Amino acid sequence: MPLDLAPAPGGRRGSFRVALRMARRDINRHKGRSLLIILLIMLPVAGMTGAVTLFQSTQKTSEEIVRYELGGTQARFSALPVPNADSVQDPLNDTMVAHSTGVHDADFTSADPAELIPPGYEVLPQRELDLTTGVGAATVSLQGWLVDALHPAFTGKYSLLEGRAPRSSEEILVSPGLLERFSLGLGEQITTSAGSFVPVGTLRDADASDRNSFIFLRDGQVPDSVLNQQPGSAQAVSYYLVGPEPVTWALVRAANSQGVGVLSRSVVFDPPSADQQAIQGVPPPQRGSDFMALYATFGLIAALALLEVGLLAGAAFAVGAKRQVRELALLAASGADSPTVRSVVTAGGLWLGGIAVLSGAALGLCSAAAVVHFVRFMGSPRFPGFHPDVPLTLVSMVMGLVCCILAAMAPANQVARQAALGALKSGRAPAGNGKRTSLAGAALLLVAGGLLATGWLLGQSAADPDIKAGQLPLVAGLLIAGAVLAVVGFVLIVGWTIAVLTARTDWLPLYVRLAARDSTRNRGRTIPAVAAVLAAATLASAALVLLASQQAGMRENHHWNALENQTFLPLSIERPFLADGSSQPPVDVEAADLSSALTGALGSSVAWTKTISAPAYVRNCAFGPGSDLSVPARTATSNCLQYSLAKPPGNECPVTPQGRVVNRDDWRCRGSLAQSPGSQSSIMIGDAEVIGAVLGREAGQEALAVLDAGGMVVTNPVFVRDGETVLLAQNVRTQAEHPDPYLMHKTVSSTVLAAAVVEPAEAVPYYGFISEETAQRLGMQPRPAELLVQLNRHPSAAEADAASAAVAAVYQQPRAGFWVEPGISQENPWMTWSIVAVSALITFSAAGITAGLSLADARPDHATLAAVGASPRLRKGLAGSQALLTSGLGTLLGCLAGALPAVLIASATGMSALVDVPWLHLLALLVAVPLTGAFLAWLFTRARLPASRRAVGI
Amino acid sequence: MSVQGPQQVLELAGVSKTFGEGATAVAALRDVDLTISAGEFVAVMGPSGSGKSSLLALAGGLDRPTSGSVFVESTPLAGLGLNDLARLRRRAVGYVFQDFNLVPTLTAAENVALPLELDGTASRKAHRQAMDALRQVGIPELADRFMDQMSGGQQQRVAIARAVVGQRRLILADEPTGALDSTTGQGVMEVLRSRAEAGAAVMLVTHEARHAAWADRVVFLRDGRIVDQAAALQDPAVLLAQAGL
Repeated sequence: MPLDLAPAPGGRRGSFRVALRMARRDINRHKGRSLLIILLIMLPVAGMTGAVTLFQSTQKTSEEIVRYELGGTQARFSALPVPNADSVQDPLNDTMVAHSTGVHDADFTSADPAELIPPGYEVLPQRELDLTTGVGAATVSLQGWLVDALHPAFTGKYSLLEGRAPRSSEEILVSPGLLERFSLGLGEQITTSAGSFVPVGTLRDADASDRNSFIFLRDGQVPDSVLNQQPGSAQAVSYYLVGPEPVTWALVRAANSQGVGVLSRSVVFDPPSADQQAIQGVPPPQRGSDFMALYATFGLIAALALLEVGLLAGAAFAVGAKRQVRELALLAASGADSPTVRSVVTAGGLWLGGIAVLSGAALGLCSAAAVVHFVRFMGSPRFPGFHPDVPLTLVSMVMGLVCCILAAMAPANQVARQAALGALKSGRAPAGNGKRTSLAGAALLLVAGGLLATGWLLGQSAADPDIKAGQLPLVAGLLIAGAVLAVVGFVLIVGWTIAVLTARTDWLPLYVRLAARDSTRNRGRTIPAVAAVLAAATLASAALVLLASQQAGMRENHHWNALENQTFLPLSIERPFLADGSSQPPVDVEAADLSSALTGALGSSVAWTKTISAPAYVRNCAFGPGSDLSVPARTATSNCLQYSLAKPPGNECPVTPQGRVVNRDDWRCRGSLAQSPGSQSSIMIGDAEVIGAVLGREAGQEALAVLDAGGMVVTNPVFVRDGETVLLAQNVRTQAEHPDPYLMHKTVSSTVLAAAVVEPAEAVPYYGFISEETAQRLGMQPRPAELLVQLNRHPSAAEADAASAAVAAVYQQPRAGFWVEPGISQENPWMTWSIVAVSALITFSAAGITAGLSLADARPDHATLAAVGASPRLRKGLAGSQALLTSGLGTLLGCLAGALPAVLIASATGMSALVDVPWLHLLALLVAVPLTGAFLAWLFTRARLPASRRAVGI
Repeated sequence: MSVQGPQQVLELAGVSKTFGEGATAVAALRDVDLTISAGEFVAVMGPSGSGKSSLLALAGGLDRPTSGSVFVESTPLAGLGLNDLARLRRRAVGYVFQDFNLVPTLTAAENVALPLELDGTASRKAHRQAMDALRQVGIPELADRFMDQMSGGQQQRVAIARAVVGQRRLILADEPTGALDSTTGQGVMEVLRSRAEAGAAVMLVTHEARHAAWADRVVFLRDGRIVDQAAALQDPAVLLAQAGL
């Protein structure tokens, strides 16, 4: 009688049960490899869970909005800046207009919030005050609050941290940050523009950082004279309502129609529907798009992170599956079908992935909770509360689990495809040739090349920048699609590339040859590792090129007021008009006084200072309607002349009708003052030393000769024609009707000077330099005008405060500031090198995993080598070669796949006038990282070769 | 009243197996006819490369013949899909190999119960049957041990128990004593013999004449062909000479 071979009921379940059991025991037997896979999946899941939890923790819940902003009060009424009566606020945010026709109504006037408060409530006003206090010779701002902060209705909003409640009109509460900022203790007096007070306690506003400098005052503590000086009193006062009756949405809308915003407890807890918020004639807002964008961004980042770890974990699973292959073949011989054999390996992914995502989510949530509670404990309102995002946490867990299972599935499929008999006979899995995969990869590379070429050609096809801007989405889409396909194509041909690269290895040293052949024979292990490095190098090289190009563009577009870490301090400053409208004489200071004050404040941060002379600045010049133009433009006590250079016809930067620059590479659009007007300080008196200090470039002999001969050293060739430039003197009291918008005033004289061009290191806003003799000859009344200060580094906020105070003391002007040109490279090296570092980390991980797995895998072979007398160094050399091959090939293909499309994207999308390829960083990625990886693998590999009794025949 | 002969458990009719194609083609088996009945112990001998392991693989459905037919329990294997063949191995065929006989992540009892569990038998019931099988091979006390906690002989006994657990009557053994010392190997042969006497059809592939001597019949393979068949319990020296060893 024939056998009954119909599927048994529950057979699949039973098989899966066996698979789970075998996978669990295999994990126990290989704890190191299992832990590695768990960590690989766990860490990104923890990172993503932590990041999303922290993001959500920055969003207030309804309870937190009410507790932190209203305390125990029913509502807050305050001014809402609206353009007309048809404007509606955000129900949860009384400072934000959520719906409006946007039409400005000239007849609309906002009501005073106090007038709209419904009857039946106790009203607690809170007024914001702009106060000042003195620090040395400088005056600094403080924020004051006139409020009964310790009223029981404010419980939850305000809380006393330290000290006690004020008992007299001298005593106040302050924020902890104020005490810290002014080095005060409780009980020590502080003098402000509202009077002198003694802080007796510190108060926390649940909605503001403790680091703020707040003074909390009560009624009667601020003189009326101070209150009356406060601008916009109606806008600065909020009214908190205490009472049992809720403030309804209808009341809120009525208040909105009169320019008053209301934060209502009942509305926050029960927000109105979209229909209730709608305005007639205004389409309802698209809800949820922000969340979609958030989820999409999160998904993209998560997918990229998990792609990386999936590839790395895939290598580990490949080795596990290979070591299991005999066991799996036995399973097949015992009657397991292919899905069951496959499920043993994938069940490993299920177990490990399950453990990893659970522990990752727990780690992420716990870390985020710790951060939130620490930050809140430190008095920052950055995180209103701990808000786990359950959907996104689940998404990251599911993605992690799927990634782990997918990482296990590839080797599982390979194992299941192998004939059980073949595995049993040879004990070694035959390497597939992967011909179809390579062909698919080659086809994808062709398609990618086509897309990249099409995108680039399309980007270059339109010369008109307006048309170019319209084509931008299509061009960017084509290039990005091409770049993605190129990466996939490169990943698919990795196996073929390895085979080709390792085909001729006879001439290589033994350990390199062994490593090369091992990589070819064990592509299941090598390909995922190379692919992981490739993906990391792709992202890193693309990011490096795009970042460098973006920074080149920023450098091009940055408005440089001086060279980096330089500042110009005027030696003469105007003083405000007196109450009767009359002017005061300017304050003249000595350069030496300024210099010594700054050196005293900043110490060794000051590299050098230099006095710069310039033609007389505009001073005591009465202009505007009614000014007397019969008075000469320059007198003994006044000057209304400002100097500039003329642009010869044809040297103007061409722009489109929409005002876009036609070609940013055009020499007429680049360099100092090519696209912006100069100021009265744009022409300086200079010699070789001054030119070098201001421009950051040395003037050559030819330029100095022109200067000495009565000519001008000009910073931009657009102001020069046939070796000459035209110096214009304009009367600032007049208005010119000139097509050049930069020539606003009438020209009273023009002088042709011989010119030599010295272009500055950055496009600083100076026309150029003339000698003192030339200035005297032209009647420009040269005089010391500014102190040029060069700092060694950008000052911190505290250093800037100290410098401000020092400068204010010299100027005798409390509000004199100190601003230093920051340049654009403050964070540049840190960012670019950190990209290289992250890529290096992934590369080291992938190379390390491959080398480690290879060593573990080849242990019997090493025993054989030991038996035939191989040097212990062989094992180290093998590990180093293995790591070098993995990381070298991965970074090479990755840099090709990343840098090339990035260059095309940067140039075709007009992201930057200059496509900047950071060769040093790319070289580090291509050479230093693989060599370091190889060295680390060599260093951390144990030299001793394993010796087994069987191998040595004992 | 008719008298029925012993039931045929395995039948190979005109079976050939060729590996590779064209100039690199290697004929592992050529036109092999072989029948093994219930309760019969057949040893297959031959030099290396004679096709012994290929014969074993075809008999258990691990591989398919290039031509000819294979029947197990009167069921033709030619028309069976991969999943049907897997079920055939679960329900009708038991394999015993020289090395790596046991799944190292499973206990002895779990190894024995493996085919049953794969076929959907409840764990408890499968365990009971596995214990019966372990008792039949004389090692019920090793049920909870893992592979690395047992000697080679004990492992092979567990493998034999797994080969006979459930309703299976065809045991295919490929050099089961190859990795064992002679005393332990003797014990394994005793177990196989006893399983045959209990009604199983046993096919043993071996190099060793002293083990083939345990069989009812010895089949000699050379270059993929059956060149001779001998009766049971011959002098090992004669067997070796016939096998060309």
